[in-house]
Amino acid sequence: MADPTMTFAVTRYRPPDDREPVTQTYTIPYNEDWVVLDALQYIKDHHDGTLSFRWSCHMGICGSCGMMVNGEPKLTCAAFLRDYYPHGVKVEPLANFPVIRDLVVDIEDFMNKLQEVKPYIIRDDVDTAPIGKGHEFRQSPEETEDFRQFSMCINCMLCYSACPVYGMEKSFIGPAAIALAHRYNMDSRDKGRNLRMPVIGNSEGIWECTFVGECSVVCPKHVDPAAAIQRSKLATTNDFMMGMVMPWRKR
Amino acid sequence: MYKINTIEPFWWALFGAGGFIAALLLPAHILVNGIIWPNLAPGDPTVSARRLANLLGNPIIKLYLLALISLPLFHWAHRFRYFLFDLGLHGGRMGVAVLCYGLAVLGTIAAIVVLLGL
Amino acid sequence: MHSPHPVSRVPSYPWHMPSGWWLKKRTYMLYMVRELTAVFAALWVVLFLAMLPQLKTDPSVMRSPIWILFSLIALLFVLYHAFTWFNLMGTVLYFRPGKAPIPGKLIIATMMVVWIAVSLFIIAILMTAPLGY
Repeated sequence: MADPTMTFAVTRYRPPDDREPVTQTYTIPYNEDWVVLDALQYIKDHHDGTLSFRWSCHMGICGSCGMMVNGEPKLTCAAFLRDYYPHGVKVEPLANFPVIRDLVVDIEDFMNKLQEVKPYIIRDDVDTAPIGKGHEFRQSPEETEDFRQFSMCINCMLCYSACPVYGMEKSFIGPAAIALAHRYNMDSRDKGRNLRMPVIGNSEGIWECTFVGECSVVCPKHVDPAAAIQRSKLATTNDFMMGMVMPWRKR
Repeated sequence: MYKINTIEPFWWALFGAGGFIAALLLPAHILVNGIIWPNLAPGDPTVSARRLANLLGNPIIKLYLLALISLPLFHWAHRFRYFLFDLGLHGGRMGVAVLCYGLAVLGTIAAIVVLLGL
Repeated sequence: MHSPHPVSRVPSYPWHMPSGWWLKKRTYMLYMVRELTAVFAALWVVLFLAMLPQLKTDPSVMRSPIWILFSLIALLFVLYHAFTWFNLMGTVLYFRPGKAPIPGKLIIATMMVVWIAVSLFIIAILMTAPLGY
């Protein structure tokens, strides 16, 4: 009996020869332990050394290997062949992003947006607080729990790929960026909420979101960016209403 | 405090209130006012003209009905506006906003007029 | 406030959102249905409003088969709205009164219980004697 194989339909885009992305089919040996990333590496090693794709840790923590697998945004290091066998697998570059080459997308927009939300502790005594015992920024385990899940983001961009709003409106700041902002807003050590809210609370931020919820469904780290966004909407609306009713109030 | 470049929170708050009313109260009303009452026997006192006149004449009931009618309209307006964006609408967004919220406002005014006149 | 979106500094093949994107995945389709529920809710209350003045003099206007049929359809959509709405509430609301946050599932369950109670109350008021014979 011949060794089992699997068919992979992989997007290739090799400008300037390819005017647009095309699909190329490869047959690879089926191995029960393999993930889609292994299959891509096999293709690169044995079929076509020019196949380009991002990857690094091969264990679901670096966030590099996100691609569309049978139409779903997935980390290819976490997509097991045995879940697809004996059917074929289609691998495409992450949806909603421009394609640079083959399976490599342009992530610059995403990187810019992450930085825009000021993803760091903001307090006015960071430079002046003395270092040493008695001057730590203390935090109880419960306070850590308030933001912990939102800190688990590995910047893999699967959520941007799953979000139809981002697909249609490039100006949308997006799920991961808002989840990141929320992570700091919920951190008891941070005092920078009023600097972040204008960034995520403007018309290109949380208000573009219509709670499709797909971002949270595809997140490999269970960050639940949809929750972060809706909670930010609630917080902003609260501030807005308070600001109208009590404009003198400083928060 | 801080400023944001949009009054979206205002519409979202109305959307939320409307969504709550629609979820909490509408199913029961649709069931009774839309299905059960119309199927009661013609002589049934539950739906006699006299009872309905009494019910609709009550000012508290009128206020309740105003909330029941107006808030779901604002819920619709906000949701439908974004529904159109989902369908691919890019241009004329200001016009769409005016149309949707405008219709909700008109519906609210109509409700006030009708309920006052009952 | 928001930096202008950079044109790709690297030459790239641009992304185009397929029209009918929502037909491609079951979750997207369900999302569109959920959004559509608002149309049925709004339509029902508007038609209900239009009916109100006539009810005082001629309640038989309710017997219109179109009204009953539309109400049946609207009820299905509004029930889907209620179901999805309470589920979403579990995500939107976050309270930590003490050491542990209130679980989202508890919030959802509470809302469902309140909804059942309120609905029964409304049905009871509308169907039985109180308020004006």
